[in-house]
Amino acid sequence: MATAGDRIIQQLDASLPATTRPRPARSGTGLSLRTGTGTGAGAGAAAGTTTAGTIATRRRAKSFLRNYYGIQNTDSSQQDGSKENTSAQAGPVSKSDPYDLDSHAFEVDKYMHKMFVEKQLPGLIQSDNELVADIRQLDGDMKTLVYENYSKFLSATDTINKMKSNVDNLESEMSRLTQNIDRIATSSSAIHSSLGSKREKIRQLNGVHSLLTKHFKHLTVFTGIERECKIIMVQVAQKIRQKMCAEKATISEILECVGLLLTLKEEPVALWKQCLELSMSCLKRVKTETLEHIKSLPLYVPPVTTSPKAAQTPSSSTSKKARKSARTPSSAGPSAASATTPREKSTFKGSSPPPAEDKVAYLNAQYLKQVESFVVSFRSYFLAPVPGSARSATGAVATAHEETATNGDHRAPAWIAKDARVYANMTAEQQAEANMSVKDAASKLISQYLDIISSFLDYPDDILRIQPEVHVHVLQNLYLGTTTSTGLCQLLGFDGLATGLIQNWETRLIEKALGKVKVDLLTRIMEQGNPDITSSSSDMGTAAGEGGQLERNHSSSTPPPPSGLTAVLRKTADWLLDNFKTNTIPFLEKCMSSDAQFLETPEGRALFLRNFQDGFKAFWDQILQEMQQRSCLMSATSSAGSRTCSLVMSRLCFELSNAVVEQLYKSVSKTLFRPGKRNRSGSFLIESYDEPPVIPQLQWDCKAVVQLCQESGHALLDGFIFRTGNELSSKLVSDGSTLSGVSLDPMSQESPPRGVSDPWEQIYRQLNETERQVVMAYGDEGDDRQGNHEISSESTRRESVFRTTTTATGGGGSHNGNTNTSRLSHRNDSLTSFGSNTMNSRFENQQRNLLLTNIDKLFSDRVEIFVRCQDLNRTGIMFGIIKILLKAWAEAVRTKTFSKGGFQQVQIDAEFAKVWLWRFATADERLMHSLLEETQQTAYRRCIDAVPLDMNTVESIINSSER
Amino acid sequence: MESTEHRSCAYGLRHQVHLLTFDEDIFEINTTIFSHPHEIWDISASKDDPDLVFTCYKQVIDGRKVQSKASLWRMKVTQRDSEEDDLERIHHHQPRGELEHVLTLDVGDGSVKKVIWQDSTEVISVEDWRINIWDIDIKLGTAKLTGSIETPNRNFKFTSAVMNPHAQEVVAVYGRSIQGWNLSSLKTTFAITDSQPAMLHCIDYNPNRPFQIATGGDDCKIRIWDVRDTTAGPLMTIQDHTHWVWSVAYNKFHDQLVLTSSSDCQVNLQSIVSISTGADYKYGDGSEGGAEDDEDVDDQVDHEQEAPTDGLVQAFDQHEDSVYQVAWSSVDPWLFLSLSYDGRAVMNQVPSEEKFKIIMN
Repeated sequence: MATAGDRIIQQLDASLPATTRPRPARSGTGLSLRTGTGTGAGAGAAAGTTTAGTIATRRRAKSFLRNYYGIQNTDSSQQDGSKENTSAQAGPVSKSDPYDLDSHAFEVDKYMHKMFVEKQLPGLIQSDNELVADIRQLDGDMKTLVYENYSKFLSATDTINKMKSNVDNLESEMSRLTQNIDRIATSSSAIHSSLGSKREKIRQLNGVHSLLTKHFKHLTVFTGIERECKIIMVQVAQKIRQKMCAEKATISEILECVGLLLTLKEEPVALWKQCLELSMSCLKRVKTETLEHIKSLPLYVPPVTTSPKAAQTPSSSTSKKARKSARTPSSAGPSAASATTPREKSTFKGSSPPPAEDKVAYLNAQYLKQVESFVVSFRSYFLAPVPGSARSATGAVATAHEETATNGDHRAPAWIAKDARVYANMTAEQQAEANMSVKDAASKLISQYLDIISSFLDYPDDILRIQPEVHVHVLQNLYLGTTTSTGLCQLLGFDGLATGLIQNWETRLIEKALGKVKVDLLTRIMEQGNPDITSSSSDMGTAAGEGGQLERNHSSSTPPPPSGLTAVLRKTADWLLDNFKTNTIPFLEKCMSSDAQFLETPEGRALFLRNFQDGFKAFWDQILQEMQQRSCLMSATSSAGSRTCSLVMSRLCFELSNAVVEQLYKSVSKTLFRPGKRNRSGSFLIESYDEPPVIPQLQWDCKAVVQLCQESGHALLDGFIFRTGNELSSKLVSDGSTLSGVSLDPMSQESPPRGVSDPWEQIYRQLNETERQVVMAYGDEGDDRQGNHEISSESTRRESVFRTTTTATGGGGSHNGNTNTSRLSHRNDSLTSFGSNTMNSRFENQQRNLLLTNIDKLFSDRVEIFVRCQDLNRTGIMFGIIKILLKAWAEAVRTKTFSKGGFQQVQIDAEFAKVWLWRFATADERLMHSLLEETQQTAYRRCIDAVPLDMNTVESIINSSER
Repeated sequence: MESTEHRSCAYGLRHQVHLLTFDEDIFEINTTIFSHPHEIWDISASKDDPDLVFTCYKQVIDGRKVQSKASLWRMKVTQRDSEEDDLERIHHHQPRGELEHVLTLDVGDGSVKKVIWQDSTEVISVEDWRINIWDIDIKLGTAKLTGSIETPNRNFKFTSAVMNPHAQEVVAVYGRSIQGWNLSSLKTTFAITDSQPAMLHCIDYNPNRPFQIATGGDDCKIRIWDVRDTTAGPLMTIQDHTHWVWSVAYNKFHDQLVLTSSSDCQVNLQSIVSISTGADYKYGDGSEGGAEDDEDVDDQVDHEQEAPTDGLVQAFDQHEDSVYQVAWSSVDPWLFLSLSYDGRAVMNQVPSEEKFKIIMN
């Protein structure tokens, strides 16, 4: 039995004609089937009939379907074969067996006939049933098949439809592609055609070249030409060299020549060496000439004729014209230019730029610019060109040349701009060497230049005499020189050097300005220290107005008519303030304000102020130091005047620390340190008194200086007290005996004393003198200010007591306005403990006295003799001196041995001191008394036969030596 | 007025010489009193014989003239009457002795203020206007003047002098100047003249470091000088006193300790370690100590002692009156005595803190 597929196909085959064809065609079918299966090629042979054609069509359809379903012909053939095999026995019988249902040759009639013949009815019925079942099954199969095929057909239809729509898109794409390709094609052809001619030319040239090399190489003409060319080149180089080495070659010529030689591929090492050498000699010549010339030029031309603002504003633009005009401001003044130009031409063969009016500008224009152009060109020629520097190099050279061109004598070489790219190829070592050499040479030049510049700046002792404009102008030119000399700045740090010079100038200027004030101040002090010249300070009338104000400001407690030294001190302080206000600060302001671009930059200004700040601080330090030094120095001479001087200086120091320093710092803050741009005039005047505070930047300095002044004041004052005290005590301590001198040994004094001893007389006089000086310097406000009224009145009482018990003598202590009317003995206080009214009793019970003294000492505070004087007034200072004096006396008495007279002298002196010295010792009267008492006691103990004078004698003696 | 010797000190108080004996074990001072015929101003004990002592004293001649003289005495403690009285005597009476006169340095104008022992046969006496060198024979009781140095400036008396312990040189102060003389040639060795503002009172020579001297005077300052460079100014200036400095003394063992006394009633113990031989030792120890440090780290932590520094170590204010003399014990490196005008002698010790600092370093 065949497979289901085969069977289906066969059935389909069988059914197709059944469905498409009317029944009558069956016979034909049977025939064709027969022939068809007879041979494979039988189809063609049977083509003559229509049925055969139909059969062929059917066969094609069949094979098509077979292919579609993947059923190979071999299968059918095999099937055929197998059928043949299986029906091999039957052979042609089976093939043509009309009774086989599955065979093509089946004939219904014969089969029916056979059936009828062969089978019985039940068999027939069975066969019929079988047939019916078969038919039904086949029918079902066929239906399924049809249905399946149909669905496949539908999907095929769908696919076809889809394909159809896709193809539409494809078409448009395709059309575009075609267009593009067309375009490519056209452009390609266009390129081709356009290159065609050139190719042709190249080919021609190639041909010519090869022709030439091939055929005309040996021709002498060309060799000749070549040789000639070379000779010419050599000659050109020689010419250039000649020109370069010419005696009068200017620097631009030299540089031009060097550039040309470089383009001619000259040997660079030798060239740069020569170039350097030549340039140096040239520049040297130029310098000499320039210096020669500027001798006749003024250092500074007042800006009236020129327009400095316009000319000196730094032109940051690259415009060469602008730069030129900035560099030579004088060219703005037509009259000046015309006046100087001819002279210039005669001197410099016209190769020089238009001359400037003043020295530095001229120097810059003549010399510095040449140096700069040399450096720039050299760098661009021989050293690795920095990108950008090449441009500036050409710029510089071009500028130089343009300027020469403006003079009309020199062509502006057009090559120069192109030539900037000329650059010598050298090895790194060679370059380094060249760099070193040119650096050396240039730094030498620049240091010479800076020396010249600094030689223009003079610093006379009286610095205020100089015109700051001149200095500033010189430095301004220098600054401008640096801004325009980029090459030098890059090579040498020229700007740094120039800034250094400017800094130096600032420092020296400030130092000088302040130094002048310092010297003046010290001179004043020295003068005023000497009371004889105190009245000579009349030159301060100008300061009177302000001075008065200031006085009221910082010392309101001062009595209205400050006499003597006080006034002088005030005046000195005022003079100092005034001097700063009217001289120093304006002077420095002027320096700062006059068109100085180097000060206009924030850094420049900050530097200047920094310099000033340092200088100002140093100024104070120096003043104070100098004062102390002088004070020490004078102590050696130890004259009254010198002592006063240190007193005055100490007072001045306190004065400074109290107000003046701060005031000055305020002024400075307000003027020099005022932020913002300054206008030129009037800014320095102190208009109002509600001054702004010291700016923070200066505050620390200010405080330090105030502190320093305070310290110095104390040191000076203590020195004064110390020296005065020592001087006074030396009168008591040394018994006056020298190896050769007269002996004032207390032992030698036999007779009872008639009066106060000479040393004490001197001491008293000197104390009064000192007090006068102290009062003059420090005022007499001590007692009042300290609220010492009680003590002072008490002491008055004590002193008075002493006087009244004795016979009242006229006059008396009318010193210092203290008129004493009633006097009681002072023995009440320190001596009452001895319980006796007689003088003798004080000295009688020695043991007890000693004990009492020791107990006293045990409970009393330790007395410090040489200590810093804290009360800066008459009381404090005088007490400091008295302390030293009395302690020294007490010590001195201990080392001596007294005769009766000697002791009595001490007694008198001590009583005298009690009476007359109390007013110097109001600070601690007790101490004075105890010291004096101790001295007397000591003298008593150290006396070989002590007989104290009685009270009345002492009194009468003291009163007899009434002053 | 005072001087130290071995374990005892002697000082003169007016007309007495007191011999103080300090017993360390029971920490007690015993005083033996010797009466002296005159008012004693200075005293100096022999280094060789503890019983020999020079006194400088003032003597009133004819009731109208005072002369200063110097005599050598031998201290003789009188035997106590009986043993049983001793206890009572100690409590109620101080033991007394007698001074046996040995010799007197006979000087013309009588202004001796100080005697310095050079050795047992040579002494130097300082007078107002000259310094005399004597050869003495204690056994024979004779003194022979062998040399004399006049004051260089007729306006200033000699105030004090000191022997250079390192050389045959005497250094004296007068006025505001310091000057040294060679003892044999009597030539000036150095002079620092008028280099300070005030009169000088006292001087001492560094016992361990040659060329270093200390002076004190009227300006309350102690100045340490190097006499090799007389123009350089003082090595160090110390001011802790508020009145004249009357006495200055180097510690004989640790010259970084300097005692000063002043009429401000204070005794100051100063450390000048930075310019003393102590500084040298420190450097020497530093190199050796480097290796030890590693081993003794633990010890160091426990016994860490700060190195002594310059400055005032301590101010002793037990005195109520001017302190005119101060002296170190010649045997105990930490013991010193000060004497004030009121007759009080105070014995003190270097504070143990400072002591340990010095020892540890």
